[in-house]
Amino acid sequence: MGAGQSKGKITAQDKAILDMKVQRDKLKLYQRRVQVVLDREDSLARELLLKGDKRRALLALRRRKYQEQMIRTTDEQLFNLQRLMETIEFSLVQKDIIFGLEQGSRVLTQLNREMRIEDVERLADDTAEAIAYQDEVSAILQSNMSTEDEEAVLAELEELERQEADRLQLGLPHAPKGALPEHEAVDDVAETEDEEEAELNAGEDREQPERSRNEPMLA
Amino acid sequence: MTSPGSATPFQFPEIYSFPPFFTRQPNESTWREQRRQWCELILAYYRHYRLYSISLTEPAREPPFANRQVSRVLPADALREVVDELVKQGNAVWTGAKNTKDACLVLWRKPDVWASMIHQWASERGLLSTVLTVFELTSGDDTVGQEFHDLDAATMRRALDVLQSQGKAQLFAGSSDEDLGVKLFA
Repeated sequence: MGAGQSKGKITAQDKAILDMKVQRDKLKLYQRRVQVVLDREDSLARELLLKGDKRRALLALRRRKYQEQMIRTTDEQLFNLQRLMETIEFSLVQKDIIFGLEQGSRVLTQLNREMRIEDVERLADDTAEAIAYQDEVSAILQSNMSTEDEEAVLAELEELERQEADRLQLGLPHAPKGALPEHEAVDDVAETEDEEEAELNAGEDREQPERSRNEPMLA
Repeated sequence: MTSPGSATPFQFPEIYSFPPFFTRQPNESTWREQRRQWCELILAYYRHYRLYSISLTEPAREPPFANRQVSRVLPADALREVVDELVKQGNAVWTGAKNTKDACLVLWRKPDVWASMIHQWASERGLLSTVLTVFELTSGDDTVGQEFHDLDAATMRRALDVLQSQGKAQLFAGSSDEDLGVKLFA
């Protein structure tokens, strides 16, 4: 029940709760026993009254009254015990919640610490210090990540690289796919590509060569 | 199922009034069939009246092992063979001291079935991972109406042992060893 407890572990708390519940069981058993006696006393009183033995009938009724009182007393005790148990179990739940809250706030502060604007800007920086920082960040993130997360990130990186490569490829001649086409067809393709290249160069100007230089770094 | 200590009398099969049913048939294949019917009868009878044990120390005098109408009693040796068969099916275990075949526990419902009933009840009530007493399971007010209410202690223990071996329960004792508690897990 306690927070962070491994499955199947029995703590001293559990044993204490068990002891209380055993007490409760004993009280219940006792009540049941008294109830049986009480019922017998009742029928006995009736029988005695029928026989005309008023004195003993009265005695039986007195005893019955006494037993009823006993049951009431045990009822109160049972109620107290039950309430105590519920309080304990509820505080165990609360303990779990507090533990959860603590963890949440720890994660939150950690996130806040890592989310400073300067740091984000530094990520885009190219100095040696910034590169060291990037390595540090990625090491921390990696150690906090599950293998699935890591795989997802790698897949995302691959996807980004592919997209980037596609964009670059628009400016490069296509690698031949499948069988070599007829000469005429090749000329056609070359022509359209030249046009595309011209367009791209016009639109993006000097960015193009720079990106091709950066490309190996991404790989 | 009907409530414990069922008010409706048990409907005996016809063969119960057939005197040779109480004599071990010498022919092996006839005996096999006879033994099968005895197994069925015992399981059905014990389930109906929610009985749990057979004592073989004294000659049987009560149904289903005896039938006063036809003045027949199944002899202890034949009964032992029947129980052996039940044990083989997993519907009984010998419980006599030092492995003597003097007493047996009849499992008209196998412990793993009881186990899953108990587990389902606990998870429906949100009682997983809380401390429960074994007494609470068999005799508590919360299990009234459950099939395992009033289950005999030995059978209950077997069911809990099944859950424990599946990693779904942990039995433990408090300050006294008699009153066991159990925690059930998802």
